[in-house]
Amino acid sequence: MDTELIDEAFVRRAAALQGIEITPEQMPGVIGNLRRTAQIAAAVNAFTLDPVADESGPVWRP
Amino acid sequence: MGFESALDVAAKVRSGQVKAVAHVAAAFETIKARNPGLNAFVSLTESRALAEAKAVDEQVAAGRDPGPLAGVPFAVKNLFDVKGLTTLAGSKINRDLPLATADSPLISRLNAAGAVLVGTLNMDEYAYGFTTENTHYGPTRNPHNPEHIAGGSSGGSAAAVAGGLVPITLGSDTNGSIRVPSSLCGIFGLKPTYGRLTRARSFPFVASFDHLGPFCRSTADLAASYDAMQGPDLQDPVCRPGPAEPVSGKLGLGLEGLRLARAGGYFEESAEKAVLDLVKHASAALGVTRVVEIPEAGRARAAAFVITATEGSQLHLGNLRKRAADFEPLIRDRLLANTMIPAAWYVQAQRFRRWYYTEVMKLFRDVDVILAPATPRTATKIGQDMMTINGVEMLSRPNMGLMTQPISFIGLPVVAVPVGMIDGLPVGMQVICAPWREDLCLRVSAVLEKMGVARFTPPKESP
Repeated sequence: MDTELIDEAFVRRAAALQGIEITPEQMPGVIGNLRRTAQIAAAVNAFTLDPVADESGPVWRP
Repeated sequence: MGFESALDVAAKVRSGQVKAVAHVAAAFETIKARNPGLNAFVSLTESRALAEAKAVDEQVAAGRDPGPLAGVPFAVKNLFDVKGLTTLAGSKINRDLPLATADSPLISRLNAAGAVLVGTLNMDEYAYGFTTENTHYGPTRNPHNPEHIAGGSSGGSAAAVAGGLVPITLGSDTNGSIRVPSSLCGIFGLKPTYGRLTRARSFPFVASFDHLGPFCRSTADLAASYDAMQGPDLQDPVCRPGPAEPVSGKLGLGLEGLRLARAGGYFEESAEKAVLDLVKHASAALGVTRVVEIPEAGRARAAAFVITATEGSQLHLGNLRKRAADFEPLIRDRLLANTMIPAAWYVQAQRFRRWYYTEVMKLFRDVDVILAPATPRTATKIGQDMMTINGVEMLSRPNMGLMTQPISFIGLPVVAVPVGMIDGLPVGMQVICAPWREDLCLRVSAVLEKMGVARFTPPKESP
């Protein structure tokens, strides 16, 4: 995963979609944290799961 | 006062040898003397406690059973609702919430067993951390060395027990927040199976992983407090229906019939050698020769990280939009970043969780108990941003949960037991079992304690 895709422009747009304002002081920390999470998530995203058998754990019991 | 066990206190109160009111009053003196050096407590519930203690004494005087924990002082992480207090969850933002109108059911159940609530305890803001370095309320200090962290996020809960302020506290564990501070403060902590103890009226963090549980200085106290809190509760959608399964009577059953193993692979590679040596020593004392590899534990930790980040930030989305500046500076940027995680990453992590659970359950066909370090190292210093594990430099705050996250990810029950000291600081081992087998975790903990391999060591500077 190219974490460089997560830059200030991306964060500004993604934050705007969530209705969040990122201040200039927060921006480096937000970019750094999102890049770190992207790296960590890449290991999970690379894992091949069975589309039928590996159903998500949570069960809703009305 | 100080390091007396909860069951010893209860025995004296039940027999009339000691008045609960006198014991609780003395407990407040101890707390007021020792807390300034630790910063474990955030608030004291003195008038309530003395009323509860008086009621216990009246029951004893009337010849009625005051309960198995009669007159025992306890305190709770300040994410538990306490009637008449604001449930701060370590935050500044929650000061604006209304006062809690009722107690958490776990507090009510301990009260029903005769225990007496004496206050609420410090934590990482919204439980998002492993260090209890709280900017709003100050850091909680390790009773073994005040320059070091107590661990987190239930740092106040662990420091209060290790420092001899109270014999029982309650905390929460989403990714390790009972086991990490238990390890770093050298006490016993139980993270029960996901869904065992009701989470009703506690401030959440990550609904998929949130657990509540007790901290104590002995296995017997841990079992007694756990037994008092079990039982179904319709207020928590994940709380298990059905009757309680008491464990206190089973602690003496020993290792008979149990198949034990030590976790290798990831759990050996991600812990410091000195920690691993203590875990190997404890394993050898139990006669453990088998090493098992929990498959994909590193990826499980990664998936737990993604789910935590996503659910944890979504919970606070409203306040992140309105008042981000009021969050703990140590977590604010992480929470903001986490709101932008793509849904596909989250769903993949939840589906991986199912795969991982199925694979780990296969291991439990051949073993009953798995032993692993509780933390990769001993407590870091307060304010320390980076740490080194086996020569690899990493951020200290998110990585203290390396050993615990792959286990709580699928809700397995664990007792963290103190297995030794390294340069004056304690470290713990996880005793991990299949779901709903807290009894086995506690049996192994009791055996280790009886052998003297696992034990609480009072801090050197204690009175």
